[in-house]
This record gives sequence, C-alpha cells and structure tokens, in this order.
Amino acid sequence: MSQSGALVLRILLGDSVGKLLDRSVVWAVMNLLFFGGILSSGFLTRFPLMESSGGLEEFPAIFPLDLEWPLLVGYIFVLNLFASAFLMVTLSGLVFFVLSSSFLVLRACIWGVSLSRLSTPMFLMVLPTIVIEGEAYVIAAVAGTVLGLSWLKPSWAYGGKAVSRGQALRLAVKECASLYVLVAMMLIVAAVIEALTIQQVYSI
Amino acid sequence: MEKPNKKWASLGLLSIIIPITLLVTFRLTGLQPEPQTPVTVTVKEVSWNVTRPTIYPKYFIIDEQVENSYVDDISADLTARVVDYRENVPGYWLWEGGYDEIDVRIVLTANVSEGFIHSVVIKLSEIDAQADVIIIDDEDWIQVQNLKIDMLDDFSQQNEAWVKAASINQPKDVGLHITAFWTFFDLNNMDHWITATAEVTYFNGSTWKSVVIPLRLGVLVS
Repeated sequence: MSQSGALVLRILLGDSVGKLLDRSVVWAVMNLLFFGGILSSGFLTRFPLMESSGGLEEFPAIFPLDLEWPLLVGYIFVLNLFASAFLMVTLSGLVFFVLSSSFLVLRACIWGVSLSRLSTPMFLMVLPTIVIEGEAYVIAAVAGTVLGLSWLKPSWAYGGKAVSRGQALRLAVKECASLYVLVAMMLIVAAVIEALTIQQVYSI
Repeated sequence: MEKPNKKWASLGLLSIIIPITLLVTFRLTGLQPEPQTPVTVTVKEVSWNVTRPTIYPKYFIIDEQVENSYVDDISADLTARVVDYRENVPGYWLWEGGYDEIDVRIVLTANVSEGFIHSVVIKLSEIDAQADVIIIDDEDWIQVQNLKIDMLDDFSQQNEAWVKAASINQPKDVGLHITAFWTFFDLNNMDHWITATAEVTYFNGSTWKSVVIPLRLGVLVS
C-alpha cells in the first residue's frame, strides 16, 4: 500500500475509532448484550427445549460452496454488509432505535445455539469469525441506535447540544458513515476467515 | 456528543473478552457438553450390473431394480430402479448430445418405532472419468415425505453427486425419491461402476445413530 493510501486509512480508521469511543457507553452495552447473549443462549441449550436428545453436531452451509475463493469472500462480505449489518441492524434502528439491539440479541441467540451444536475443534475454528463478525454487528447496532435516537430524541443522542431533529439526523448519518468504515473493514477480515473455515470444513 | 470515557471503553472491551473467555472455558472444561456423534452402522453392499448394448436398439427398457435394507431399531430401505438405456442421446437444452445414458430412480424409505428421523443423504459416488451423473433438480422429479431438501449437488463436478434432506417435525417415517441420469462418454468400450449410498441419521430414544446403506451399480462391456 502506498504511503498516501496508508495515511488515508489511518485517518479514516482513527476517525471511526474516535467516533466509536465517543459512544463507549452504548458500545459497551451492545457488546454485553451480544456476547453475553451468545454465552447465555449456548447454555440454555443444555436444557431440553427443542430436542429430547441433547442435539447433534451440525454445521449449516448457508453459502454456495461451489464458488471460487475470491468470489466466496466477496459473496460473504457483500451479504453480511448489506443484509446482515446494514438492513437488519442499522436501518431497523433508524425506524425505531430499540430494533437494532433486538436484532443483535436475536442473532446472538441463534449463534449461541449453533455454536453449542459444534464439536470442540469446529467450535474453536469458527470462534475467530464469531468474534470479528459479531463485533462488526455490534458497531452496526451502535450506528443504528444513534440514528434512531437522533430523530426520536435528539437530546439523548446529542446531550449537550441544542439541535433540531433534522440537524441531529444529519449528524447521526455522518457518524454512521464513519462507523461503517470500521464495520466494513471488520467484515472483510471476517469474510476471509469464514471462507477459509468453510473450505477447510468442506475440504473443497 | 458524549466525551470519550476510558472507563466505559475498558468496559466495552471487557464485555467482549469475558463472555468469549467464559464460552471457551466452559467448552474446554466440559461444563458445556459437546453434541453427540452418531454411532454408524454400515450395511453390506449389494451389487447389480447390466451388459451394455452396443449397436441396436438405440433405446431399450431395462426396468430392473436392486434393493438393500437394514432392519433393527430402524427399518430403512434403499432401492435403485434402472429404467432404461439410451444410446447416443440427441441432447437436451444446453446439453450437447452424443453420449449414452441410463435413467436411474432411487428411492429411500425409513421408519422408526421409537424416537425420530433427523436427516437423510443420498450420494452417488466413485464416478469414473468417462462418466457423469446428473441428479435432476426439479420438484417434478424429486419426491419427499416428511423431509425438506437442504442441499443438492445436481450436476456432479467432483466425482460425486448428492442430495441432503432434513426431516420436518421429528417424524417417525420419511421417504425420498430422486431421479439421476448416468451418462457415459466412452465408445462403448469401458466398464462403468457407481456407488449409491443412503445415510439415515436418527435418534432411537436414547442414542443417535446413522445407518449407511450402499448399492453398487455396474454397466459392463458386452
């Protein structure tokens, strides 16, 4: 990467991390909801809620396995960024801020149950993807919550400032764009790891 | 806008690290149990073959069937019905003709008296380089009973074609009927073999089990 490219990346990332730390309370709560949700839902599967059997190892393949590696990475990244992060977590928050955290918790529960159905080696293989991709959704949920609060209750989103709903929404959109640099970067890394994991599991 | 708060930022990081550490610890110490691995029973292979016609007629009906089954705490039956043979098929839409083809219908049925059936897989494997198998991915050609098709590798690219189906609502009996076209590209001078395998995974009320039922089909040079 050229020096100017590295500088742009540093400025973008620095700005994104700065914006995230500005929202450290919301970020901490979302992290707790998400990763705590994975932990607790994984534990709930110890109780016979769905099957009388204790479960069977399952590794669901939700991506087309016949894609070439770069295409598979691209496919996973685009799907995760637009459908899983933007549409489901962030845009839902714009409609009503609580929806961001609700969808985040729902995903955490699904992942927690899925993780509990994996053998220990498989569990350890998918864990890096879970942490990195999960953190991207947490940041997307922070963005969604800020967007939702900005028009519903500007004083909660921008406590110290006297801003109108329109101004607050514009500020929130800018903040959201900064946070999405971080989301996109994490999802690229997660997509690469996930594609490698899928190829390893299915020995393509 | 909030001021960056070191305490909350640290709490944010801890709320990632602590749950993940606990999750890994619980799993490695066995506090969170591993899922069960099914006990696998493999049934003895049943073989069938037919002599390949070389010149005429270009189309003839074989209509023979071969069956292999397993009866214990599950009753599972795999049947391959070899319908007909076509010499120098003229080709279909998008497919060039010129090859020979056998139409095989594969039917798997299984039922348990205790527990439920979890999933089934039908695999057509060990396809040689001068042959191919196409499982017809069309709802008119696939029939299911208490099953939902999860994955279907309809056009074999890696020496095998397969269908995987999961059961619906923990049924005691399931059925899967697929149609496969087994095609040959040689000049009627090679023997061809294929293995059709059904794997039924079920829970018998106390243990997870898998039963594997193989069938070996052959088309031999006369």
